Amino acid sequence: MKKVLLLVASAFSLVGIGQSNMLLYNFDAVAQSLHVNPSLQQQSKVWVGLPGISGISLDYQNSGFSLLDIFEEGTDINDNIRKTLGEMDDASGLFLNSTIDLLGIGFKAGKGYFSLGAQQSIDLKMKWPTQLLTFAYEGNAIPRNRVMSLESYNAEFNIRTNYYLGYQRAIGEKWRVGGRLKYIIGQGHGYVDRMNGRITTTSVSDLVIDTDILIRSSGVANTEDDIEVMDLVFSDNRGFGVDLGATYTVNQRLSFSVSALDIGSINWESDNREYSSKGTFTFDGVDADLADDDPIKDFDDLVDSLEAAFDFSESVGVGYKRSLPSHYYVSGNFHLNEKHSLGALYHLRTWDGDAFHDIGFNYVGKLARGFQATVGYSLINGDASNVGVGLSTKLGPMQFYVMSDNVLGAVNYASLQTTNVRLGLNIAIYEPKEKKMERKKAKAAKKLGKKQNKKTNKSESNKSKTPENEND
Amino acid sequence: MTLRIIALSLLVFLISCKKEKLDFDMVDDIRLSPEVELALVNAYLNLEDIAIEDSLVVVDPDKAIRLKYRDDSLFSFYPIDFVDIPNQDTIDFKLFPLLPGADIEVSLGTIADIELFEAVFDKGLLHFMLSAAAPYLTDVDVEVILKNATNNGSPVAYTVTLPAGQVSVSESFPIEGLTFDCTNNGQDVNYIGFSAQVLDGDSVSPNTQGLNLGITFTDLKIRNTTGYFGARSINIPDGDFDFDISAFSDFNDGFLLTNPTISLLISNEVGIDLAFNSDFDGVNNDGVLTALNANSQSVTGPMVLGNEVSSVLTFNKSNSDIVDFIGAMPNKIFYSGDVSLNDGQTRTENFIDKESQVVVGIDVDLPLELQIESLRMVEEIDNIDFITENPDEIDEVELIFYTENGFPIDLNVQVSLLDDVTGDSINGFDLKVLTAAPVNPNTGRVTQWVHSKESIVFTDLLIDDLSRASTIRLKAKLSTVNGGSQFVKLYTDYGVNIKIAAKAKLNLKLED
Repeated sequence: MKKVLLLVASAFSLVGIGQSNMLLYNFDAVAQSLHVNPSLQQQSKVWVGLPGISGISLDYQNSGFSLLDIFEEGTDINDNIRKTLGEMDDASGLFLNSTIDLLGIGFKAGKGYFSLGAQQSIDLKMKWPTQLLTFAYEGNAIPRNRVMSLESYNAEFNIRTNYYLGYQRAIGEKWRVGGRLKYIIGQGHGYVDRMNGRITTTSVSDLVIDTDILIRSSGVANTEDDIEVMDLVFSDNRGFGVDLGATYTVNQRLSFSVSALDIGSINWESDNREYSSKGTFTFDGVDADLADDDPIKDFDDLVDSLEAAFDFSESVGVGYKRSLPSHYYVSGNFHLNEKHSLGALYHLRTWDGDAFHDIGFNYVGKLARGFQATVGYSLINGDASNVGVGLSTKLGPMQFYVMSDNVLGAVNYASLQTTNVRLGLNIAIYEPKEKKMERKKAKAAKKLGKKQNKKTNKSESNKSKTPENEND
Repeated sequence: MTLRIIALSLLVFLISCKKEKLDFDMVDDIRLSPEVELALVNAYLNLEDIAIEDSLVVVDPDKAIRLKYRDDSLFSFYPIDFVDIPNQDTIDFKLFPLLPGADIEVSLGTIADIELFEAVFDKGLLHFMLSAAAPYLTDVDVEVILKNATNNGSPVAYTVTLPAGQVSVSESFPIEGLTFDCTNNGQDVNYIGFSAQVLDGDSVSPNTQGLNLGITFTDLKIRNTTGYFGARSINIPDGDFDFDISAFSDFNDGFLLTNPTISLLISNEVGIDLAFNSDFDGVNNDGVLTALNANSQSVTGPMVLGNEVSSVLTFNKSNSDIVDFIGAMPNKIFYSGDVSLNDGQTRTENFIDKESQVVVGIDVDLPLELQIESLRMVEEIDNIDFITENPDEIDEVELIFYTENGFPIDLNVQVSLLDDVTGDSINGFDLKVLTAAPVNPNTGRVTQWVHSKESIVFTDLLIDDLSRASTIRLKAKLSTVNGGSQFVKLYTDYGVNIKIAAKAKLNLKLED
């Protein structure tokens, strides 16, 4: 048990360094910002993401507890556990996400901007079974644990590849809209369809256990044969999704934007399994027939009774459709000047009937053409200790970027509850600099002026050769 | 310049952040301290189940339970017990050829002076021994007539011949089927009359020499007879039978069935009245002997030969000490005693035939109608080893007893923990296990089941003492409803459900 705890704690600490989508949303230096803000005008006129390394992100959120909550030096760990369990609620959960940009290309075409590519995504969401943990830790004799319900527990994982085609353009002087169509192939999925489990301790010390549970899964996890790469790439689990965005520029200093991401669904059709249990079992002690010479029978009977009562089964499942985990951004930006801007961002995610709210403030600075930065502070799902930093640097066309919504976590990983990291290597070709343009224009104008002067001089000399001039 | 300022600020900010320290070794300190409540055992007992299992239990149509032991042939009396005729002495007399014959009248010898009026023998021999001082020159025929016997209505006579040249001859005749009138026409009892004479005495040579005739009855068995078998006693054959009431075998004292009976089931084919002076002694598991002290009781016999009279002699609490007798919970019952014949002296004539018997059976009937004021049982459980590992992991345990009791019985248990060395009680507690269900005072039947909840808290001290004790002594005190002042009856629909649950405050350390 101790080893398991340490392993889990270590795993959580490993993801405590990084960058976040709260900063990525307004960071137009990096084309990956289109993943979250399809209408964001890009600095690059051509962008090529290097396969597999152009965008790697890890996201970790644990709204239940941090390592410090449990293992703070000099405290009583038992008090810590008790306190942590007391503070956790049914919405407390663990959310892990990882994405890899397999390929990405973007380029400007006329007034529009095209992007296309593929992204691999692994997503895990799980609510902590808070009541179950409390039940196990405190026991069922505590009044609040006499009814332990698993109904608030939920979990879902999703492994998919998004093939996308995006386009954005300006509409008039004020609006810029963008969208992205995703063709999705799912590799694996599992979710809790029903988790109506309940353990009730009655007034006469009986344990009444009710289950009405259905867990569905699909994809590679259920494949018993050797997994073929082509089966993964072109599985029968298909879906579509769209990302939409719009930016409204009020004036030179103020703009607003919104985006709605992952609107769509996947039909999970291959290698489906269903795990179910439905029944009621009352444990009122081991039966003892006092009239029998051997009053207590074999405990195997009890196990058999449990199995029969709960009717556990694993079966081939039917196909099902699941919506993508949609989320939404709303942002307002104040542009101090061409190089510096401030932004405020609201991010909404929904899952399992719960809404998760993030609010952030950020600064984007185009400090140099080859070095741009963003910093921000975010309140992510109630965790207020997120100070993020993002950097982008260019050496010629090669662009490296890295960002995290919570860099404090890298230093103070003990109290880390939320963080992410995103980094990658792009080939990015920006629009030419304005000064350079001006110099070119000036140079061109100068050339044009010289030509005109020459022409003028020539015509004047020709004039002097006229009879009139000659007359003069 | 701006870039440098920002980078420096960021560095200072990060370094200035508080770095809390984690201590993963604290995992060793984790102690799970749940308060767990769980039903452990759900014990149930239905009287019907016991009733089915025990062969002694009989269930009445109204579901009332009684214990019944019945043996239709515990012991028997046979004809020989009533009428026994031994081999008779030889009757000698002398005959002379030329003289008239002799009449001889004798009384049949019987055991215990039984008086026979009429008898038909099923078996027996009549021996004649004829002898002379010197051989005759001619054969000598002697005729013997049984004066009071007939054979199918005809007189019975035998001829015995002493051959010439011999001095003696012996000859036997079966008397099977002969009917003897032993009253000599109403004048006598056990009467046997003979007449004997020498046939053709004139032709006997020498005809002056006398003959000796000896007559003897042997191997006499009565086929049927009338008479008076005497005012006497015959012994009841000693014997015993098991009376194992397993369901109650633990109760040695204080257990009073209020209406037990023991009945002798008598089937009498002998024309005689009998008085039974039976002795019953019970021995219980502890070897204690208790006597029934039953009064003598009489039964009559049939008035006509071939009939049978069935009688039941019942010993109850008014004519015996049966309440105490059963209360001692005998597991073996010994019987003995005697039977007085013609004890009432109202009958002057008895009869019997060779098939007649008196068969005595027994019926022990114990309706489970009882009163228990204070039945105490003591049980000691040695070498207990409840908590030898990590008693520190249990802060407190509360045992809860949820009881649904359909028995009209209170049960209190006093639990004592005995010291390993001294044997003294070092701790203990009392527990009311059962609360008696109320009964109808007239019928003794339970009117409703009683639900109760009792608990005992094992504190740290009690748990320590429990781990220290080597023996637990259980003193159970059991009484019927209202402290035993009310009789109760047991029915098969009685039962008890006892659920034992534990509520424990644990203090568990995580294992490595």
